[in-house]
Amino acid sequence: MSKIIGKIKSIPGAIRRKLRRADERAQDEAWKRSYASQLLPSRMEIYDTHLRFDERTYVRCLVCGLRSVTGSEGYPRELSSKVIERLQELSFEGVKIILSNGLIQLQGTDTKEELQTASYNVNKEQISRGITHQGNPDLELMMKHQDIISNYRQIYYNSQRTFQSSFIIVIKGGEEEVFRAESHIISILKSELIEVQIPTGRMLEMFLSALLLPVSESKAWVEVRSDGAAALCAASNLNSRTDEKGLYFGKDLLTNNEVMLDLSTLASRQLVMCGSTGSGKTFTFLLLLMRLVDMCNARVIYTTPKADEGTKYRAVAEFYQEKGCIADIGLNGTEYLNPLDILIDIETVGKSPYAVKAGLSFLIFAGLNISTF
Amino acid sequence: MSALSPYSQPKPPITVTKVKNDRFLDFTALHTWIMLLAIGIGLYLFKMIAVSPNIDKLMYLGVAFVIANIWYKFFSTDEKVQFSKDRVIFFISDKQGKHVINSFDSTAEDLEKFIPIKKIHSGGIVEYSRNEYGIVIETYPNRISDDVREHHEKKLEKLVNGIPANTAFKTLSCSVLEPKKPVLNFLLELSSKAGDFKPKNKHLTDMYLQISGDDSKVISWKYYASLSLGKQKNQDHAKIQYGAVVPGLLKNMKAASLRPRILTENREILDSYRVMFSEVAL
Repeated sequence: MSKIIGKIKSIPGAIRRKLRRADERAQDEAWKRSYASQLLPSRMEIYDTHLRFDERTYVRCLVCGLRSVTGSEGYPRELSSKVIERLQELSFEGVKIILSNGLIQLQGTDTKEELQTASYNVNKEQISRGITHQGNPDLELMMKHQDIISNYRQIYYNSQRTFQSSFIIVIKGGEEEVFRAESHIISILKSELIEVQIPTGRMLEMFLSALLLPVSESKAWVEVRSDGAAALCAASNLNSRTDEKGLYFGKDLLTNNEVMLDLSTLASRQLVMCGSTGSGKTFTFLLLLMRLVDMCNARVIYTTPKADEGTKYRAVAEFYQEKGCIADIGLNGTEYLNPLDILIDIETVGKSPYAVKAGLSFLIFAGLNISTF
Repeated sequence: MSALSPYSQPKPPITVTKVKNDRFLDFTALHTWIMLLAIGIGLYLFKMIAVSPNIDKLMYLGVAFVIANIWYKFFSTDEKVQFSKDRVIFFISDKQGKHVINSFDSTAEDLEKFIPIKKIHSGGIVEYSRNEYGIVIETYPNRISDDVREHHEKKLEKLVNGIPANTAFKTLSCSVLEPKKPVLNFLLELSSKAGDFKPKNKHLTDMYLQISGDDSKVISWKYYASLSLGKQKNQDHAKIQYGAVVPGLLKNMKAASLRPRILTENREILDSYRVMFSEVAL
């Protein structure tokens, strides 16, 4: 009897335990389903000066632009998109760089009102200074007033709009590499007269603001006009000239990337190569022509008016064995043919010795006198 | 092993014995010093027990028991010492305002404070916390030469001017280490189709060897943009806003040669965030 009573008494406890376990499991499932758990690193350490992910990745944020009173811009007037490219040219191994530009366009009427208020405040300060400094105006305030008028003019004539912009650079990687990259980045930004701040104590907020999330940190916002906002958008790609197939041109020394172009996508398929004598124009051309033959199944006719022995162009045709041919024509030539024959289909010409040449991969006309061609 | 070998045959172990910690009595390890300290305190307490009156003996015995217990629980092995050390460091860091977030022991709600993605709806509309909606776009811009830079910037100006007022628009470029060279795959493909024409095979092989031998790292960039659709009551309202804003934005982006593509698949959108969150080598 006592056993039965004991069992009955233990039922609520058992139910509570089972409910608790079910609750924990449901929480586990919610955790697994959440996108945040899939994306966030397992461990984030948040320090005043940096973040550390998974005990190895050091993360630093830089906030660009000068926070200023309404009416003045946070970036230099002559800002160009070249700055972004200079930053992207920093190909650091072991470092990941994120360049993020957030923009919010302000209503024209709001901007006008803010500029009006800023102008009023500047004038008021100037007047009060005039009283205390025997009418001697403050040059800083004068410049600010001119800036406000200039900005108002742009808004008034609808030539520019006003934006709140946050330009944040995130650097991730090993501690040493991050600091090295940071020093390069800061030097580039400073050389372009862009102010840089390290958001001490707000690193996580800045990092999240930099990402494509509806999160923004007000301390990163800087006022900017349309031209500055446009210049800061990452809109040019140094590595864009590489296709999956096509003609292999070589290595881009700026980005280390192998450059391959699908010639069929080009509107115009003409190439001009410039260089001083002996710089390797002919050599490069022959290299590209050989690649055209082997990579694009092209048939090549190479004509040269002079015996350019330095380049050994004859070796190229000889390399292709029975599929290559050299026709020495011109005044001292051994062969005579109408170069236009090669355009004629082999079937229509029959077994003409000239027509045979039309089936070749690499045909060189040497000694051709261009002036008489 | 041959029968002529001067060495004896290998024998399997009779029992598996516990391998001693390599760092046992290693004086460069913290746990050795803690153990010596505990032994020192223990010896002192035993001395005090020996010379003290009966009631004090009990007290010293109790203290010795507590110390032994603490040592066994927190400092008896190298791992336990490391764990205790980390715990103290993180406790102090937390007190100083330096926080540690372990995503595996945080709840889903807590993690959403950092990545506020609630749901990804059809068509690529991303629902964030607090009823905010947005889209993620991947762009494929071209290289710009200095001759056309001014013209390009004018087009970008038109793009940013075209963004609706009070709407957040973000552009982001992220460097990624490019481990593969497309040209190598193409050369392999060509070689397999080349047949037995020797000069062509030789040329392609030489090119392949030359390119694959160059191990200089290629850093490429990925480009993304996002447009906020603002706070909306539900997904249907977000879709209406999408229809009102996104086509115009795409048109302006195309005009600026950005070649935009709205990410619509769950996987694509998560991958784009992974590019931003992941470590250096992808």
